[in-house]
Amino acid sequence: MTQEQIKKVSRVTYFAMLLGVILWLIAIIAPACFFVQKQVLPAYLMRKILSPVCHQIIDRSFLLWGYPLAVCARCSGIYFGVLLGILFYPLLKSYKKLELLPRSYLIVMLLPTTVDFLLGAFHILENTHFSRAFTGVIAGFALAFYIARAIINLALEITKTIASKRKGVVFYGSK
Amino acid sequence: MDQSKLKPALISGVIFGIISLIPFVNLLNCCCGWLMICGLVAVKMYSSNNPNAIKSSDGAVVGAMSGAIAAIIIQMVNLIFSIINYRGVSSEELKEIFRREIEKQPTADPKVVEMVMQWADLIIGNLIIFVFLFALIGIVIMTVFGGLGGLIGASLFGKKTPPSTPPYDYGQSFGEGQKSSYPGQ
Repeated sequence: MTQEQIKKVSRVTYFAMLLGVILWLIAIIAPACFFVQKQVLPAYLMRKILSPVCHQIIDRSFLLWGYPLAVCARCSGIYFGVLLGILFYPLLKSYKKLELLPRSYLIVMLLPTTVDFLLGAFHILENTHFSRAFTGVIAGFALAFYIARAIINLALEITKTIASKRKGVVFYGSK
Repeated sequence: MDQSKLKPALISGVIFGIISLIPFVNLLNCCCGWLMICGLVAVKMYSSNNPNAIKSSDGAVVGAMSGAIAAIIIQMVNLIFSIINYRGVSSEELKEIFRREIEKQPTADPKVVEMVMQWADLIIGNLIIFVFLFALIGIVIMTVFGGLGGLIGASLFGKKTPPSTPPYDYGQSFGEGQKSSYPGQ
């Protein structure tokens, strides 16, 4: 693949990913919007669809116009962090390189939300909506860089395989 | 099916499927945390058994397989518990349960509840279809999260550094010939 093709595939994948995250966030906000419109059934069904993703405890969820989002404050923070991370991703210096950030970065960034969760779970320090969401944003922000890189790598790999099949050439390691 | 991928996916899927069902421990399933870890662990296991570098697509497949296995276990157990709980419950009682479920929602406006209850017959009449539909949607979502975990795993654990060239062994070259210690050679 030429550098131009790599750039093009990376860009298309990046925008598809961004769209996917925005749609996911819309799905999280949607039940609250349905509740405002007194559309309880679609709101209930949306919440039910997203129930495998989160415990959805209303007391632990952010309220929008007085109605809860489809996921808890921590999950909302994580998904918002993922959106922020993906928006910031092109600003990263190594964006054009196909390299991944070191593993240690991810561990360090996941630490605050883990500590916040454990302190709350063991009743050592009661966490708040803010602490859950803020530590979630940090975790999501970090995760986004790894997810984005991994998905772009996958897209490049698939494009390479399709291109080689079209040409009838099988590269070493492509199967 | 590729056995080298199925084995780690199966082991990781079963382990994390069970973990996701344990009370308190399952709280980490917030944002499908356990399922992402499930995909990550499956890829780590796959990578340990594979001398070559792991491709992103392999990571995604192994992660998604493990996520799907864990999701099927979770949904099956939930389904079994639902069947046990609602065994012998009449459609009128089911309607009442549905009403309570709707009343628990933040908009407990009686008018709205009555409006929703108009749908109750449709939902209860096709309860099995709805239950399976939600279970299926759950499995799809969890599989995607497992696949994401696998993708991250492939990026984190997939690269293998090639072994450095060993120094030339003069002694052996005059004997039976040098035997390579590299895997696959």
